[in-house]
Amino acid sequence: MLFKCRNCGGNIVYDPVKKAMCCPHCESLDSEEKLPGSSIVNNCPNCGAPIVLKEHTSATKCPSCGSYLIIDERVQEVYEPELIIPFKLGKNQVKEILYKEFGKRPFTPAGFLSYAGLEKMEGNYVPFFMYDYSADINYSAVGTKVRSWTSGSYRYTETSYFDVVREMDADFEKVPVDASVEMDDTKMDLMEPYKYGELEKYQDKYLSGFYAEKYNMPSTELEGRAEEKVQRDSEELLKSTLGGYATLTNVNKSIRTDKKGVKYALLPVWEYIFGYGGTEYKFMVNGQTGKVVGTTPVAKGKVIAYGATVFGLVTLIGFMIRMALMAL
Amino acid sequence: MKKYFEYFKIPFIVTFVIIIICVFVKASHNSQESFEWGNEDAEKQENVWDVANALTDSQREELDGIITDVEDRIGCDVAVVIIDESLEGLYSTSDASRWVMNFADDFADVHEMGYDAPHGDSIVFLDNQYRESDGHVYSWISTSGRGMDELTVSDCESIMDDALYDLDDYSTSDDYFRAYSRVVELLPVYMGSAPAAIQIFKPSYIIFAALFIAALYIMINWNSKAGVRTTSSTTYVESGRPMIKRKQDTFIRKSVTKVKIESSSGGGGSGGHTSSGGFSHGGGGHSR
Ligand SMILES: [Zn+2]
Ligand SMILES: [Zn+2]
Repeated sequence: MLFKCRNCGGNIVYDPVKKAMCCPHCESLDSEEKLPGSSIVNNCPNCGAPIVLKEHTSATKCPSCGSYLIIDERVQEVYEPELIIPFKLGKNQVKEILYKEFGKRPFTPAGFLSYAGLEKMEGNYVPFFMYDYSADINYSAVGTKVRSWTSGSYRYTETSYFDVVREMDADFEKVPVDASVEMDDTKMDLMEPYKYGELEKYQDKYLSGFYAEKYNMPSTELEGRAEEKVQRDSEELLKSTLGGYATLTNVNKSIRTDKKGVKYALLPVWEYIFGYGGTEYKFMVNGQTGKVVGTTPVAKGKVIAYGATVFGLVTLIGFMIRMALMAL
Repeated sequence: MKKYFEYFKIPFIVTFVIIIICVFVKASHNSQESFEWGNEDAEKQENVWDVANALTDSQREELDGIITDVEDRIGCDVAVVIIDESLEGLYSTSDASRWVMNFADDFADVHEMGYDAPHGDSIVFLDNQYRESDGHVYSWISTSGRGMDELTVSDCESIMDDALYDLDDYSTSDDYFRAYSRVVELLPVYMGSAPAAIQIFKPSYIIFAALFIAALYIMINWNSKAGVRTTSSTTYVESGRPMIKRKQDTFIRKSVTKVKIESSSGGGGSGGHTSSGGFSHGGGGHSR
């Protein structure tokens, strides 16, 4: 499908800043009209150019006319997302965020964060499964607390032993796991947390103006990762109640997790790609919170020049102070 | 290039200001109280005895001038003696570091050195460039009178550590000149009870610190990784906290052990000794 402007016929996109459908051609607000079509075998419903789709793509941009297309079959029926967090940050805001994060870095190559490079940035809706789990934590251990003091010419060490027992329940809600092969799992995990207060019921219009994927695999295949997260968090919850002990010798520890439900959602991620020295450096920005994930490339020549300058300045200052001290 | 200057604008300005302050301090403190010779014979004697031919004629002359200035500032007769021969077997001790001491002490005695009177206030810096059979090259600063009173053993060692650290078998006459004149220039610094900070601002330390800071700077800025975990164990937990059903910490027993505390004692040292000529000398050594 494709959203067209009733006033001028142009392609209407969702504007994260105005929080509305906005025609970039005539600046009409909410003047959209849904034009169905653009299924997997079809051509662009706007210009007729053939569209080559990747296996999981559910929203893309026509390479000929630049219209944003949504692939009906991939957002409907089994592929219809239940929830979505619409993009909240527009391209210009993300540019600012990236500048703030990396703009002052001395060793980044020329061309990093260039205007043209940042213009090419695209927003992606990444498919996520959100799992509900309940965890049942049972723990018992022998803990020690150590106290020591000096009296006369002797040093005393007192070790106290405690019987430690913990039993707790935790209900985990909407633990997210990305269902995209293309998106790096580590980076997607670092995109968390999203503010779930802004989760909405899925609507097609939010996709217009962005790229999107349907889930690449069924939710059962990703349960393992969700469970790992629940286990990790449960461990930490347990640990946070065990402060004050010098040592803990476990007698029994069990964390039982139980899946309660799962929902399919799309979450917004901006992606900036910078190619340098034959490597693609990918930067992800949470389209809702603005959290940045990525590692900057290093220009060796700059490292040498800047490092030598620091060395030279410190040496110079050192010898100047030495000269002044010798005269005192 | 424009970015480079913009980036280093503040460091450049700071460095410039520090240079100005240091130059000003040096210029304003250059006038020092001075002493008067009381021993004409010693005043006329050579200051530089370059038996090893380590320096060029013009360097010898320049060093001589530096020594003459320093002598009046510290009130000591100063000689720089450079030899290049083994001292093995000349003295009763087998400790090679003591051979240069004996040689330097004897030198002061034989030449009846002294700023005030013969066998008076004097300092002899001896560098024996010969590598002794134990593989080391030894140096010594021998002090007498005022020199002995105002320079401790560790002062002498610090002066030589500071000045001679970069000498090796490949040193040129320029290197030697720089090192020897540094020894002489450091005498008034240490005798005028130099600020303790001078010990920190040794050339070797400065270069080491600069390397360290540059390395640290590069490490910190190497690659900027953004994105650390910002979820916590309770991010996805309903109502933000788990339901604690049982939390129990029951004391069972305790045990006490005791260990005797060992105490340690340390000792100091002194640098005074008497030369074969019967005169008392102080000083310290250096080897490389
Ligand atoms: Zn329009
Ligand atoms: Zn088209």
